[in-house]
Amino acid sequence: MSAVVLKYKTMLKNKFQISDNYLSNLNTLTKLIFAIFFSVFIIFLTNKFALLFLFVCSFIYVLPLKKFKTMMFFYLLIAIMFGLSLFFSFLLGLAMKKMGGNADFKMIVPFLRIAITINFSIALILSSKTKKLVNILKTLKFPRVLFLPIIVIFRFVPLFARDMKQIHESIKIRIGAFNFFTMLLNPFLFIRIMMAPTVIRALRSADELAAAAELKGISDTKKITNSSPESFEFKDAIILIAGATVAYICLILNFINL
Amino acid sequence: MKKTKKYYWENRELIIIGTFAALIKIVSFLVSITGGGMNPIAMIMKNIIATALLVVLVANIRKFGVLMLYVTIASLISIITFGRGLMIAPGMILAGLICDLIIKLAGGYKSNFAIILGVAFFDIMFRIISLALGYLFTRENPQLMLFAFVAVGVGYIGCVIGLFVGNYFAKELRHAGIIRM
Repeated sequence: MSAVVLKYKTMLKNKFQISDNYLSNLNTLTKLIFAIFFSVFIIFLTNKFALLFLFVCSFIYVLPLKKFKTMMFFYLLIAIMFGLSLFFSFLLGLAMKKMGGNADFKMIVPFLRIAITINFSIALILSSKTKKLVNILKTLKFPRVLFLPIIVIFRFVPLFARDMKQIHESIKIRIGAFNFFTMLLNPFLFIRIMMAPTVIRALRSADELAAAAELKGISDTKKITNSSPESFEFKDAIILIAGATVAYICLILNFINL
Repeated sequence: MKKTKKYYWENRELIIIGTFAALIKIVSFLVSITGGGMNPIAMIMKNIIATALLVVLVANIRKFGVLMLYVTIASLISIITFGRGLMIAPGMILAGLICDLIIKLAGGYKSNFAIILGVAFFDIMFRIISLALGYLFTRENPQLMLFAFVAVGVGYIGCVIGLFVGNYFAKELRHAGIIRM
């Protein structure tokens, strides 16, 4: 009885999680258009207020996912990288007496540019299932030379994860725990024991996948169709219009030059 | 009986390119995580493995256009999964095509030297294009590029080692019959 209750509880929980999150219900193509468009658009923005406005909008866009830890991790990573860069510049400035330690560092603009792309990427990755991403390829009608390898990449990752686990277990049995210090102290051993089995496994997996593709008739000349197409709904149109409006406001803010 | 259309790229080759594109991305990522990210050993190691795998890929599929196709697929994956990489993709595809031409002109795909030369040039061009895009992002503060230059320089040491490691691996794999000529 309790097993049945637990099953329904899990089912309801899953259902709630999907329906609760508006990003998951959006068309994957809409999210992809957003991510691609804004990753290019931000390069043309030079005004910090325009970028700040876009950053706030992208934050609101990604907010329903509630992935605050992931976002903070990436923001912190950018800040650390910029901090290291500034430290190097400062050292060089001290050495050369040219750059100087009192240079006017405009950290906020590059930081915002990268943070915005991260927000849109998080929204795309964490709200789209692999199946939906694969279906985009079918919707866009990619040629065989592009479609087949990309499908392989999506399908290969779980297979490869299993292989890597097996390789890791074998290494553990032979030389013990494998960590950063092993890599640091024995880099050549690391390459030998990690790379050789990985490459051999990858080549064997590729042969197996090729045979499976032949058996499934993927080499045939018939066009590939999307069996479960996503419909373009009213909410997608609303989101796209909202995105266009945000872009327009950003352009105005950029040209006003506050 | 229905005739099967003959393609320039066979299914097996396309699948190997896809497999290696995934492998290079995943292994580089895993090495970065194991090494804790921004340390020189991890950066060199990551590049050794990525370049060596690229050499093995070209040594396995000795056809004109293999680098260009690999780059196109890797770029498309970045665009589809992360929504990023659209700006860098045209430059990278062009770099792939140029390096394919370098391999062809330097002795063809049967020559190991030509493959190493092509991949070496590809690594250089990849880094130049990435730095140029990085500059676009941080153009208000060019000092930020300094660390990127250092990181790319350290990484390229790994690429040079990776060329020889890859060549050695390709020879061994061919000897073992895993890579077919």
